[in-house]
Amino acid sequence: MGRRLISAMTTPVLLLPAAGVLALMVIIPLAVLVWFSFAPDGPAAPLSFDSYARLFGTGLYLHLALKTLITAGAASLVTAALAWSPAWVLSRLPGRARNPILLAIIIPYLTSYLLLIYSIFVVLGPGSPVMEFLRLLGLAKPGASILYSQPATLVMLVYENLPLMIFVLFSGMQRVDANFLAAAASLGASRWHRLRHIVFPLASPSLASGLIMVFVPMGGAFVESAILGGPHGLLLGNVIADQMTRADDPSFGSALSILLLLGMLAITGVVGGLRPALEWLSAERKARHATPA
Amino acid sequence: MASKINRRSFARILGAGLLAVPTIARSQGTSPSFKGQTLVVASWQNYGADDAGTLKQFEQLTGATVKNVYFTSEDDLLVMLRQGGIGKIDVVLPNLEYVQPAAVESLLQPIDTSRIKAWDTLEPRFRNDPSIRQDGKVYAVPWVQGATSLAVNPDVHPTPTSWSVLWDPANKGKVAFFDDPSTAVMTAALYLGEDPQNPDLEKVRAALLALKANVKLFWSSGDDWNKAYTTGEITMGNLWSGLAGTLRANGHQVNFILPDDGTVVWGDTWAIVKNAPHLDLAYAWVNWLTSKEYFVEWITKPGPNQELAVPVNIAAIDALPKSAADSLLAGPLIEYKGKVALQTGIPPKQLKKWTQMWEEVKAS
Repeated sequence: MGRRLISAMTTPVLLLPAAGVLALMVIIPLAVLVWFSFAPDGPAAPLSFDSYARLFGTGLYLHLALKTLITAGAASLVTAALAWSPAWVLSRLPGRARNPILLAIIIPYLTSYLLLIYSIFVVLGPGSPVMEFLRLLGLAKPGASILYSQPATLVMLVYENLPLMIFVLFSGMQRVDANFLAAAASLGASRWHRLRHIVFPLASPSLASGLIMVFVPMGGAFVESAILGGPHGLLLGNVIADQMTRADDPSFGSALSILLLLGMLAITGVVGGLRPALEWLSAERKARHATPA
Repeated sequence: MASKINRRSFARILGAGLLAVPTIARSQGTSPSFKGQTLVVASWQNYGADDAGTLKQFEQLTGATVKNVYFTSEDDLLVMLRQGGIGKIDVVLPNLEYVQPAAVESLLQPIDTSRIKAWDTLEPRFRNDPSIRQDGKVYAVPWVQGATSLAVNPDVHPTPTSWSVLWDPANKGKVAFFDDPSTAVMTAALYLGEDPQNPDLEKVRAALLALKANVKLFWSSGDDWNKAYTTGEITMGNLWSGLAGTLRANGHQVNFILPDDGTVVWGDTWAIVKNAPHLDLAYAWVNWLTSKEYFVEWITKPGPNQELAVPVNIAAIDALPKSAADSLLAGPLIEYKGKVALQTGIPPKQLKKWTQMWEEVKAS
């Protein structure tokens, strides 16, 4: 009896610390954020919708939120596209050759992002190798640079998050059994078919989680756009940071944060739901193929 | 007569002399009796309060040591005081705009101006400024000043005399503009010919939106400006006089202009924190930092990376060697006859409106 009670209690008791941390770090701050957003005149004053009225009173902030989500989304997709091939090559390498490369990839990820931002100045500035190359191709005027513009922010976000994306994709691709590919090849499947029907389906869970993992910090980014984005490259994160500090308006900042949070939840929900939907679709098609005409 | 000094009278004279030393020293606010005390000073980094040479002199004068703590923005300073700084920090260096908000929150204590030796030689426009006062009491001693005025690359632009050069479509993508609500509003008001303390906000908004089309960079630190200017990304903008001086000292060509349509002037002040643990030493600090001896030493022999500014104490400006005063652009500022928009005295509610408007301009 006693033993059964103990074994029944083990799981809830062991979960307690985690639940406590979750409450302390996630639920309480989130509740405070919601509360602040309804308390524009300080915690003592009666609650009101003023902050939200201001938010929706102009199209400005919705437009900026949309721009932020599009920037983060585009940067996530570019990151994934750039990370795909290196991750695949790494996953096919023997361990001895792989580890030094993995180490080299992780170094920028361990470097302070502020340092990375300032190093981008050298790479993208006027007269830099990149701009000289673009000039030779006739794509840039002499002395031009893409600093202080939206593309500079995008380049920075991709640069910062590329190592993480490579790692996530790599760990998924490692599980793709080489025998499947050999078998498919022997049955006459082309490179494209093998990618389309074996590698992609097996790696897609890690692609989805990689996209979400880089999209979330990109959506909240503000330092990158403040330093590199120029006057037209600001993101919602910049406005939120300003409201929390200089403008001393935590209520409006909280309302904006909630807007951003809801937007990101919607998008990550869609990305997370994409895979089950695709699986269901392909299962459907297979079933149709299987049915004799 | 000398023969009349016997051993006893010699001892008496000696005794009187010994007694007199601390008395004289105390009357100068520099009693060495602060030995063993540590004054905690909150300021910007590399900005006078942590200049090694002058700190050493202060420590010799008072026998005390100084502990520097740094804030990175004026709001950071307020947070520092609200969250545990009171009772630990002795003196702080708020901008004029922040004295009243801090005084209203009871973060500072009133200052007895009769104990401030340089008080009467402080520039009247600062000494009489209502924004260092709250309920009739003085809460801050104005220390240094500077203009946030027009800076241009002389190779690209001759000498413009009006802010309108920033709005000129020919300069699209070449302008840096300070990311600060009150500087932005006041500069646009001067350009429009409006009252900088109380302009028509809708006109200002339209002007700032028009300016944004020309802006390459909203800068918030000297580093932002330097990077963009030295690589040629920008050729003009508004800039702190101190930074213009630093750029020149580092061999860069830059013209700093106080335009005919007016300029924006700011001031930094010393204030004593409520419940300061070392009150008398705090007064000694404020007296030393506002003295002409201090300014001459700091401005002519600054430590590495020190960012200098123009003293508010006129006597100190007069005591400076001409070359030092010129490199600080002190003369033009003191003698400037145009409209001065002093960055102070904006009621908090109005400043909030300005801030909102500026945020909206940036977000557009």
